[in-house]
Amino acid sequence: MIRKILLTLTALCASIICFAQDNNGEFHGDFDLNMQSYQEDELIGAEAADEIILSNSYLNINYTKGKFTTGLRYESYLNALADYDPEFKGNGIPYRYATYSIDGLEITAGNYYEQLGSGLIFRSYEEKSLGIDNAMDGMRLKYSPLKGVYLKTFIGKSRTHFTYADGIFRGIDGEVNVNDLFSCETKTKAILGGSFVSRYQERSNLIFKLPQNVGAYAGRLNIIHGGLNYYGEYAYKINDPANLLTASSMNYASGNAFTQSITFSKKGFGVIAEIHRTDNMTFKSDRDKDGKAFLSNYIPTLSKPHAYSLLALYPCATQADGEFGVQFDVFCKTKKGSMLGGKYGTKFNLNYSRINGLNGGGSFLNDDTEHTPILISIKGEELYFQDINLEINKKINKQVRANFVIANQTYNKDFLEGHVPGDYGVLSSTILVADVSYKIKKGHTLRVELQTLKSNQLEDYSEHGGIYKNGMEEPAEGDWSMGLIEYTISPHWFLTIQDMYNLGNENTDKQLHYINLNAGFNKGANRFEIGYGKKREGIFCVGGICKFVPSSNGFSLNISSSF
Amino acid sequence: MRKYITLLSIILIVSSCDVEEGPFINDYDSYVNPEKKVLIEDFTGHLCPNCPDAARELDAIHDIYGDQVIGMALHVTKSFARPYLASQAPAFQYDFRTTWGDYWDAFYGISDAGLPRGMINRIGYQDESHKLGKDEWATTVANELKKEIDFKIEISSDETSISITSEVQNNINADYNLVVCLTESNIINWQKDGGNNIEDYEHNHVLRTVLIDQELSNSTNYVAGQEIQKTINYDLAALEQFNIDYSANIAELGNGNAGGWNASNMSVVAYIYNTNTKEIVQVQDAYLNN
Repeated sequence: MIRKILLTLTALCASIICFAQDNNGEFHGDFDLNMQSYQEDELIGAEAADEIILSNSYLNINYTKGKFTTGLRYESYLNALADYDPEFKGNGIPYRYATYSIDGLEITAGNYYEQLGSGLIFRSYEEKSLGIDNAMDGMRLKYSPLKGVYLKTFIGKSRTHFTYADGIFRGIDGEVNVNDLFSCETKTKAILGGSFVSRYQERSNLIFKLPQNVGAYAGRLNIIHGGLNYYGEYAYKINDPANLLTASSMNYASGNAFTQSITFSKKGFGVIAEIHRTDNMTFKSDRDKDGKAFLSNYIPTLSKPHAYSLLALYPCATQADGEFGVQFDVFCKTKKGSMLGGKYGTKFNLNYSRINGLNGGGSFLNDDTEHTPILISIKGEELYFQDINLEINKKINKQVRANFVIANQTYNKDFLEGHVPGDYGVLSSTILVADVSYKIKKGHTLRVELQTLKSNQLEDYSEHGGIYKNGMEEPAEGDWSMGLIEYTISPHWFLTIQDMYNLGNENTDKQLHYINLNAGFNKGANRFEIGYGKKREGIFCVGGICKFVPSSNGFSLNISSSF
Repeated sequence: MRKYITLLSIILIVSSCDVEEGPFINDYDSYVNPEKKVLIEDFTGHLCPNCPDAARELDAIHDIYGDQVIGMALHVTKSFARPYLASQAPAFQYDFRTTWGDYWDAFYGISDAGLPRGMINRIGYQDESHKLGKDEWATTVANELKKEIDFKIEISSDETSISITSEVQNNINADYNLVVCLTESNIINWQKDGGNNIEDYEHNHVLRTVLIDQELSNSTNYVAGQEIQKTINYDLAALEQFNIDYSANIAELGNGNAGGWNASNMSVVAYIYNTNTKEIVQVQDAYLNN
C-alpha cells in the first residue's frame, strides 16, 4: 500500500514538475482538518474513544495548465471520527486524476465524479459531512459534436472507502439544447436529455438466476418559458435482485422513478410545485453489500432542508425502495413601505411537503409473489414525513435583522429509523424559531437564536403493551428547547454558546442539557475553530441521505485553508 | 471517426442488460431456505431393535443439511424403554424416559403406530399424517426446509439461566407457544440393535427435560422486527432429581436410575409451535453454557 502511494506521488510530482517548468500552470488546493476528542458520558450514552482523539483530514492539490488539469487528494483517517464509517481507516491517495480537452473532446483518466440527470440512475459524488465518497475510477469522455449537443460516456468502478466495489459501471448521457442546436432565439427554451447506465457484476448464486448486467435508463425534459420552468425526469431500472439464498427475499421486480417540478418566479414572488415517486430504485455498486458506501444513484429529497437545530432534529430520509411525495413552496417579498413590508420589506416562505409509502410497499416479483403498487396513492398509505412551515425574514432597522419560523412536522420515527412499529411511534412536533441579529457597532454583531419543539404522539399504541406512555416500548424524547448566542467580530473572530435542553424526555434521567461552545478565527485563506460540547445521538441528513450520529462528548478542532 | 466511436459505444452499452424471466430459481428440488430449521423427534427406546436404524437415518439427514436439522430422541413406552430388572444387570439398567416424552407419545399417538417412528416439525397433525416412519423423514425434511420463516430464535445460557430471544420476521396473527428443552448427547449405554445387545452404544440428543411450554406472547399479534425475550432460571440437580423420581414412582416398571447427567454434553433446544396446528414453525439449538 505504502509503496503504491509513494509510486503515485512520485509519478504525479514528476509530471507536475515537467509541466510547471515553463511556469504557465497554476496550482490550487485546499486543506481540511477535523479533530475530535471523545470522553465518556454515561448520561448521554457517549463512549470514550480508545485513541482519545480521532481525526479526519484532507488535502486537495490541483494543477491546471491550459486545457490540462491534474490533481490528487490525500486523505487521512487516524482513526476516523466516531460518526464515520470505521472502514475509512489509515492514509492514502484515493483520488487522483488527469484531464485534458481538445477540439470539444474532454478526456479524464483516473477518478471523477459524475451525475446523470438529477441522479435517479447514477450519481457519483462526495459529501464529507455524510461520509460519502463514491468517486469513480476509470475513463470518462465528454464531447460536444455540435452547438447545443453534449455527449458523455464513462466506464469505471465506484469507490468504497479505500477500495472499489465489485461492479463495473458503463454509462452514457446525451443532452440537447434545442434552441442552441437550431440557433433559434425563442422565448421558450427546451433541453432534452437521456441517459443509460449498466452495472456488470459476476454471477455467483447457484440457486437463483442473477443478472450479470443490470441496466437503467432515464429521460428528462426541461422547458423554460419566461418565469416558468418545468423539469421532468423518468427513470427505469431492470431486475436487480440481491445475491441471497432465501427465496422470499429474492426480488426480481424492475424499478422506476419519476420527478416533476414546476417553478414560477417573478420579482418578489415564486412558487415551486414538486412531485416524485420512487419504486424499487435502490441501485448499488455491489449487489452483495449494504450501506451508504455502495449507493450509486440518488433520489433528490422532497422536503425542505432545515439548518436550525430543532427543525432538523427529525429529518426525512428518502426511501429509494418506495415513496410518493409532494412539495409546495411559496416565496414572496412584500414591498418596502407596505403594511407587511415596513421600511425594508419582508420575505415570506411557506413550505409544505408530504411523503408517504406506496400502496402495499414497493414492487416485488419472485416465483411465489407478484406485487406492483398503484401509481399514485396518498390516502390511507403509511405517512413517512410531513412538514408545513412558514419562515419570515425581516430587516427591522439598520441594526436588527430577524428570522422567524413556525413549523409542524410529522415524523414516522419507527419507519424512518428502522424500528418496530410501537417502539417510538409517529411524532408530531410543533417548532418555533426566533433568530435575531443585532449589529452593535461596525464589525460587531450579536446573534441570538431561541427555539422550542413541542412533541406529541400521533398514533395510539396503547394496545401494543410497551411500558411507556401510550404503550411505547421506548421512552419518548418529548419536548426540546434550544438557545444560542453568537458574537462575531468581523472579519476575524466569532464565539458561539449553544444549549439544547431535552426538557420533556419521558425518562427523567435523560432530561439533559447539551451545551456546546465554539470559537473561531479567520485570517486570509485560513480558518481555525475550536469547540467543546456534547452532541445528542441522532439522525443527520443531507439531501435526504442520512447517517446515524452517535452521542459524543469532547473537544473539537477544525482547521481549513485554501490556496 | 469520433462519431463512429460514440455510436459504437452507445450500441455496446445499450445491449448490456440481462432481464431475467421466471422461474427465477435454477433448481427448486435442491432449494433450501438457509434460515429454516427442522426438528426431528425420534420416538425410540433402548429395547427397540429397529430404532438404531432410525437414529442412523437422522444422522444421515443431519449430514446433508447440517445444523438446519436438529434431532431429539425420546425414549418411550414400557415395552421399548423400561429398564431391565436388577437381576439382569448390567444390561439395560438405565431409564431414559421422561414425563414429557411419555406425555407427547400419548398425545400424538406415536408408539401406538409402532416404533421407530417420528415427527418432522409435527406437521400433519391435523390430518393424522404426522406419525412418520424413518423412510419418510428425508422427503418431509426437504419440503420443510423450503418453507419461509416467521421467527428466528437465539439462545444464550450460563450455569443458572437460559435466555431465548425470538425475533418476529413477518406481521402475523396466530397463537404460538415456546418450548425450551434440554437434551444430552454422548451417553454411552446399552441399546438393542437388530439382534445384538450393544453395551457401549452412543445415545445422542436424548430428551432430558422440558423447562417451559408456554405462550410466546400474551397477544396473538406479532409485528415484523419485534423481539420477544424470555429468561428461564434452572437448577440442573433439581431437574435431574425430578427425572429420578419420575422413573422411581410414576413410569411403568421404572427403577429410579435416571441420573448421571453430564452438563458438558447438554444442549438447549428451543422451538415455537402453532397451538392450533401443532406445527413447529422454527427451532434452534445451542450448547448449554454457550
